[in-house]
Amino acid sequence: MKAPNEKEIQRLLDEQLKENGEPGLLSSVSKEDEELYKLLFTTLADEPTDLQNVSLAEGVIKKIKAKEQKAESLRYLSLIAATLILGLLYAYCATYYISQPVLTSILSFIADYKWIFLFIICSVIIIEIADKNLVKRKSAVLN
Amino acid sequence: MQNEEELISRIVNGDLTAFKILIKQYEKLVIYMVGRLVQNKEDIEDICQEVFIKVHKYLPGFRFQSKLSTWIAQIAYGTAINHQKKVSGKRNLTDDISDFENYHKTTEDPETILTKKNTSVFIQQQIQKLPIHYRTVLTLYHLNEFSYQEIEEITGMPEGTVKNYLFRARKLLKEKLEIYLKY
Repeated sequence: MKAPNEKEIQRLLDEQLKENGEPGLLSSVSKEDEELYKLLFTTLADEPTDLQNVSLAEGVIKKIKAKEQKAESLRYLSLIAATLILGLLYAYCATYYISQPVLTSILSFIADYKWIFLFIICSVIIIEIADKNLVKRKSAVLN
Repeated sequence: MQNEEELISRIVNGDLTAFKILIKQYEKLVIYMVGRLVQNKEDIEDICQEVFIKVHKYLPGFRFQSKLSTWIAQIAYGTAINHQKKVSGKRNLTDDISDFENYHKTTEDPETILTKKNTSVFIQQQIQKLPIHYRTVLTLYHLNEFSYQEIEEITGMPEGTVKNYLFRARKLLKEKLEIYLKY
């Protein structure tokens, strides 16, 4: 960051020498050591040259947006799943009260073709997952 | 401080432009700190980004009990140290300075030293060879200008240890500088 001024260097130097814990050291330190410490303190405040070109803002904002988008779609999917389950429950209850024979025939129809229904549901889920992953990979390549 | 509070309140309310301003304000602090602690240069940018993502996540819980810079530095220190532990195990986190002390005796001759661009570059290279705790206190004190108390808060090291590490690190660097300047 900022380079230390003469006063600051002197303060650091005094502090450094006092920290050695030996009384009278300040007077015994050589002029050469003093100059070396002064040079060192100035150099230690220099910004590392290899780290000056790193820029973070864009990357961080992009990652936060992606994270928020993911959370948003998860909320959306959860809402759809909840609505679907509630709808099915409602349909079941309604059919039960209106006509029990109709409900029985619907349930036996589902039981007869359960593998077809299972296949359709699994296909939809696999297509959704594959689509999401492909879109994600493609956008990552484009970025 | 008023501006900082206003900025944080905007960020907490979902304003990403405000968060971008905060990143710009503190990116050097994080980059220099992570840059000095993490040896693999390719990981630095990713870890710095991870630090700011954590800052964004935990900012609603920030209660101004410390300076924002100290709080961010605390997160940066924890993230960088954890990364180093994962990458290199515990060896690099110890105070083993024998490699550093023998550096001139074993790996570099005066001719190699003479090819170094300048004192600043030489010192930067020597800092990277110091044990991680020495690098930490040197960076926080000299580059990021934190006080001893703030360094204690960030790293969890007692103030006496911080002063001791600073003293030993400066002494080692002074000795290296002495050798370097003689050639």
